[in-house]
Amino acid sequence: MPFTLEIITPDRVVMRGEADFVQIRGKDGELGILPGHTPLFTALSDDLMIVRQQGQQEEVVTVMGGFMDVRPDRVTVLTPAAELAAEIDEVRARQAAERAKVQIDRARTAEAEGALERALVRLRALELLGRGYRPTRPHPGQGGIPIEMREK
Amino acid sequence: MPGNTKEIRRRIKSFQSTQKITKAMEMVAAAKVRRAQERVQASRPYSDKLREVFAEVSANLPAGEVRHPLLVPPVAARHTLLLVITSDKGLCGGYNANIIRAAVNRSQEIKAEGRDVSLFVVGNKGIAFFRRSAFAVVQTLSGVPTPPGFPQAEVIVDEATDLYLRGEVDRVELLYTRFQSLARYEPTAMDLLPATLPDGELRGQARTPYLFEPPAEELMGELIPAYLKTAVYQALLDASASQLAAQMMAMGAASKNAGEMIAQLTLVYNKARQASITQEILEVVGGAEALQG
Repeated sequence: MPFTLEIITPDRVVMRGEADFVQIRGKDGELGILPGHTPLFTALSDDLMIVRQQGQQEEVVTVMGGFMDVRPDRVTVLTPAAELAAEIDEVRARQAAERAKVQIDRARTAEAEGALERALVRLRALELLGRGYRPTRPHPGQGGIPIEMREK
Repeated sequence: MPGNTKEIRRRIKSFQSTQKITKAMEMVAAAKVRRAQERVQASRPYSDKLREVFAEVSANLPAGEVRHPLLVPPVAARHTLLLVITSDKGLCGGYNANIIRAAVNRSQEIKAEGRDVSLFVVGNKGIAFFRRSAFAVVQTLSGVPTPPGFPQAEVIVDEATDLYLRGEVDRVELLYTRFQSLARYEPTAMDLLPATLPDGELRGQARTPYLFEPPAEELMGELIPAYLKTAVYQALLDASASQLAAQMMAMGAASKNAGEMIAQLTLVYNKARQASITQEILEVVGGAEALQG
């Protein structure tokens, strides 16, 4: 029984559909959401989301901060910026990473570090996309927040 | 009078080329205003959902007062930051004059309450006006694209929040032009800080018990800025749509006026031409009669 997944930015609805499993891989650890998850509300950092739906290729989405609202039957991500991995321009992401590195060498600013981190998240997303990444089913004890399975 | 007709012809030409420009500007503004309206629409799912989760989180907060600096000012500075949104470019009728007048009036009201006022001005038109005035301009932003993007709203909110948290101001108000329809757009005020929790009466009566990561009180510190950014983003979009609508109206009126001037001048030109032809005929006839006589 899949849940509804929505990823919304101020400009557009990036994704609206059904999913069986969502994994967040961020700097603060991993978080896996299965249907029937207990209500959870969390702040996100610059993260990668992996969305899996039965019978379909999984999606890799970059999420630049924001919030995730998890209910048993619905997951909503509100973020200032999100991109499907397929939409990412690899050349631009590489250039952005280079620019940010040069900037950090010159002067370590929070702005440049943020830019570098976002570029790296994008590049990681592309890597996953290229490899046809299969997310591992998380299990309690793996870190992050334990997965609560409802009956059924 | 050949000199006179030539002069009139030149003026007609000049009006015609002006009309071409104003017509083009009118059409461009019309196309852009439609896109701006679409942007406003596209931002709704995000703001609606954010309002919903905001209410949900605040319902999960313990009953009673929540002491977050964004909700209760850290310092009673008796100083208001007035955030005014104007445009970078003109040729949009009374759009900028109206919002600037509203800002001046609001500043005087605030001063009458015994509070100080500083301005945060967005848009070159407002910046140019307030720099020449006696008002204290503490922050400016120009170069907001058409249509505005979310990053500009983030910059504005971050800087305003910074001034507030540093205790320089204890209140932040936003003044922008709200877009209602192509013919209706009005200067509108909105309180930004200190923020108020939505559904205050629902506090402590959560419908769904939530897990919070980080704890709900801490989440407020992230949710409130996100909420403000969305409010400012929508204000920027509204202001941009209003400015384009005002430009469309102004250029439409200018094209119409140019048309009237062209019609009038054409009439004068035709009369002058007629008069000079009649004059010539009279001269020819007069000359012929003189020869016969």
